[in-house]
Amino acid sequence: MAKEYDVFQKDYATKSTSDIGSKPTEMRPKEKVQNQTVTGGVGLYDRSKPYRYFVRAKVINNEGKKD
Amino acid sequence: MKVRKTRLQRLGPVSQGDIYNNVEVIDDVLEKRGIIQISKIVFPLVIVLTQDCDLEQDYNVRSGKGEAKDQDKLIFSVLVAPLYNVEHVYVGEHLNQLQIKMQVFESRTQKNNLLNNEIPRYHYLDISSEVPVTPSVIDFKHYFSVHVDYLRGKTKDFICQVSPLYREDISQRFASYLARIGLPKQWKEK
Repeated sequence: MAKEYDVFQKDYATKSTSDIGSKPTEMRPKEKVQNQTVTGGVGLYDRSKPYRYFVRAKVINNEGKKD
Repeated sequence: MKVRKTRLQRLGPVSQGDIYNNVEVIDDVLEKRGIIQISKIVFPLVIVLTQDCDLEQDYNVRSGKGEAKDQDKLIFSVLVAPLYNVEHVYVGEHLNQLQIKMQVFESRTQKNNLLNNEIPRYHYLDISSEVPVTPSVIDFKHYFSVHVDYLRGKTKDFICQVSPLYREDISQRFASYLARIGLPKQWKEK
């Protein structure tokens, strides 16, 4: 481990200026809010279980171009 | 086991023990008659398992903050494992949206074994109440990797970081699980 930590340190959060914005999750389509079937809740989040979604795209036609 | 969180905002590099929201992984890519279909799985919560020193060194190389003369310490991906709501895990329904039926924890003993981290595959996390994450279970078997830049870009989806000592416990248990030796069944039964 390269860092040294105080195990019982207090929060030292400051906003990072070096981070870049997030895109992939913002690009996904809007989802329906999932109804919880068991207790436990999901806190702030609208989804509590992994789910699958599909992205479909057309291949760009490069007709006319020759190598 | 109550787990302390260290911070609620990320300072810079991705760190071991970071918990992120909505992490995507590409499941499958198909191409048929000029149509490309990408299947993605979105995990509501994941925890970073890659060693912190590796992540820090990678960050220094990428950001140019270190004194490195080469890119020897660059890494391609970060190892993460999903967190599942423990209540969903009890009933084996945490992956039902992926059409996967999981083991059911029926008896109190089974549940206690899970909560006491006596099952090598799972790690129970009950993060302090100021973090909006319900008691969860890390499934070490479901680890996967994501690109470093992808996680770095997810500042809005950063939830918290599990504090040192607790995250080392997670890391040590994960390493132990990964290093297990699978014996043939007949040897186990003897």
